Amino acid sequence: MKSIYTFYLLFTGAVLFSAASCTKLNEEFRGELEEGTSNVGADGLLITAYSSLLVPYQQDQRWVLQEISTDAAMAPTRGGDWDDNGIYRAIHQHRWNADNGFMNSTYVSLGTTIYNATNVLRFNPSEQQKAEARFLRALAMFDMIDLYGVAPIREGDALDDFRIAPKVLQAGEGIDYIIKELNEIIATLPNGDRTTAYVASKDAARTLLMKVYLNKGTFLNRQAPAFDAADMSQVITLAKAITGTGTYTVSEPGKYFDNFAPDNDVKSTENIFTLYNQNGKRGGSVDRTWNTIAHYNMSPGGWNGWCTLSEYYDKFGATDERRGIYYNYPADTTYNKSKGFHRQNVGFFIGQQYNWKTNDPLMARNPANAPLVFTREVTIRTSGATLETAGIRPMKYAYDYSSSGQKNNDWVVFRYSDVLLMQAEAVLRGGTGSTAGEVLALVNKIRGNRGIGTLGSLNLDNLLDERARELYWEGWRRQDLIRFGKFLQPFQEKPGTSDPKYLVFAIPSQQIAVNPNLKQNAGY
Amino acid sequence: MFEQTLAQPAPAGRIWVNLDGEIVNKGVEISLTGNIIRKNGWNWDLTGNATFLKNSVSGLVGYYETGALRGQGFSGVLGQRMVNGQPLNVWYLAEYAGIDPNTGMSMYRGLDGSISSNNDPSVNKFYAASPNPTTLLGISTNLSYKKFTFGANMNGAMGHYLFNNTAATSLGISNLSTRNIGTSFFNTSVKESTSNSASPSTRYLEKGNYLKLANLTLSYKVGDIGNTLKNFNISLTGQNLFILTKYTGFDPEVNTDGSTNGIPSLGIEYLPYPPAKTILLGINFSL
Repeated sequence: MKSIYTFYLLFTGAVLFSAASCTKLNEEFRGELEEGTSNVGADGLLITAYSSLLVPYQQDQRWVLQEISTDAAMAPTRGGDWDDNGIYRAIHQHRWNADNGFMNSTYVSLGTTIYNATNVLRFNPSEQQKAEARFLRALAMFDMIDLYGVAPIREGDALDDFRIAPKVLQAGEGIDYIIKELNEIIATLPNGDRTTAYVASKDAARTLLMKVYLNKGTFLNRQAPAFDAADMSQVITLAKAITGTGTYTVSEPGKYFDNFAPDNDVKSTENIFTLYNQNGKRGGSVDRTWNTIAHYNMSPGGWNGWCTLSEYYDKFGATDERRGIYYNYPADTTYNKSKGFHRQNVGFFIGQQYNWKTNDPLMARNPANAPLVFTREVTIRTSGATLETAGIRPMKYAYDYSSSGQKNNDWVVFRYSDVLLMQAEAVLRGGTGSTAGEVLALVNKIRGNRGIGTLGSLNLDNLLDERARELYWEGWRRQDLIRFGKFLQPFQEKPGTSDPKYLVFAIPSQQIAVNPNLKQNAGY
Repeated sequence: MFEQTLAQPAPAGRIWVNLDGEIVNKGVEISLTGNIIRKNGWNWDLTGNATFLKNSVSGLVGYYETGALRGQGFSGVLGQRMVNGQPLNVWYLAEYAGIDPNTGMSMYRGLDGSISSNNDPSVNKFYAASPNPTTLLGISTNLSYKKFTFGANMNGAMGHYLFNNTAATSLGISNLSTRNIGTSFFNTSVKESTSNSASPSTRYLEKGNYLKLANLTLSYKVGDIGNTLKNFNISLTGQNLFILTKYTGFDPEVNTDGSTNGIPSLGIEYLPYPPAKTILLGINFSL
């Protein structure tokens, strides 16, 4: 009986199939998409443009080029781990070439940002959206000139036909282009608002303009920068305009880490421009700030990687809040907070590390009976007993334990204390509009709030050190060192003075192969 | 036609272009078939073919990289190039020059010709060898005697180099404290340091020469059994029965995909599932 049933089923199936296959096919299109009627809006494209900055900025790509190439950060090779064909060693010791993976990945990310921002302009944006997109494009072009010495741009037909090689602006033209763009959009951008610092504002554009004027002399001649007094005065004027809005204040004592906390969009009094990270909405891997430095046995386990160097750490005094504290914040759901262990959870991790569940000393993974003590001593290759423990680990973005998905810390691009330090620097470099006494008071205000004593006078050396302390691991160290003429000098794990060609990175070979307008930088 | 990376600024993507450039394959192909015996119920055929090939790229502007290598400490590492004057997918790697007896670290040849463990493998790279075989071999034979038939197929390739990525990142000396290591890293005459990282180099490049018995069949034609079973035939087939090679990895025929930016790779072995050895017993008849 059963087999007959099966036979009938097969038979009917066959008949149905043959019936269907005899039907004449009438194609009928039920939807259509024509050029110009796409439902992609400027809103979505603008968010895409903002989001394209997440990867290069958030402790990857651009960050690696700006920090690991300096005395502030190192990615030591730990046994077989973190070797990655020596790309991190090459960047730290100034031996990179055009094939180094970070050359290409950073170039592509920033180039994509330029394209995505330009693309917004073609889809009927509002005046404000247009201005925001032009700000993002200017920021990415500024980074390109800083890193590679050139800024590529697509205009007109080249936006639709990718076979047309993009135009390449040299440093001088690029700077003029950025200054013109920023001056045109400032009036249209919204006023700065600390709780929506992730939206490009007038103050964000002013800060970028300050950075352009401050670095202009360096970008035009990296070996012997000339600082034009008029440019420096512009920096001071812009800083005063930002202060004049009354929107920002230097964080109160004990509040330095508010600027990087999971709820920094609410709490920070300094953030001028940030990259948005919000669980359930959008964002990127801001937890790389933890993963790149944390040991496997910390909570949560990290990748046991990057560190700083002891000479950099020694720039901080014992009372300096920035060096590390126990930071009490709502997103901390560990026993470290609830049971009152209050072990240090932000800043530089050094010495014995503790289990935040039990308050017991943490052990290494191998051998498991060795205490996990982060040491000052670290070499660019470590192994054996020091493999897991070498190096002091900096961490500014308090870990967001309350969110199992996207971490909510917004990444800080521009901050008010940076504005004040740039204002002070512009005065030292011959700018007018503020007196030496005024800017000394500004720097001392920052120092006082961070818990260290005041300076009697300012000079380029103590100002550079103050920038090192205030802005550590925020992605500006290389730019600062080049501007202060110290980038090529030897530091701990980079013996010897580097060749001046390393003042600018190599244009990635993959891009030279596809854009005939690109010329390799001298020496590569 | 070539799928080219877009010139930035652009969306992340690729575009088909008519790329200037040529790939020249030069070589000889020989095929011989012989009927060796045909008498007294014996029949023996033998066919052999051999292809000798040399391939080279020319007329490209710049070069393209591919051949993604993998494993801990190999993030973002590419090992092959398409570049003028070299065979397609030529290996572009640091040149390994043994272990430094004093430090236990790998030594590499520098661009200046020096041999030292201070030469960083990431910036001292050379065109090493080709992953393309220069010789391809095929042998097949058929022997029958009365109701017995015997058939065998062998294939082989020679003159190409494979990257044993499995040995480089899964069996290396730095695993010593936590995992097993490969025999080639054990009890070596010069002691290798456990902190010696496995940089991609010619150390893991091996000759891929092989000759493989791809399949072998023995069958016996019984014929009709009674009035119900007609054309009764029994056969025994073996596949991948043996391979002659000095390659130390799983199988020289595997090709783990390491294509990058749409450019295919060739000759990488990384934790593959090796081809199975199969034995089949077949019975064939009609009613």
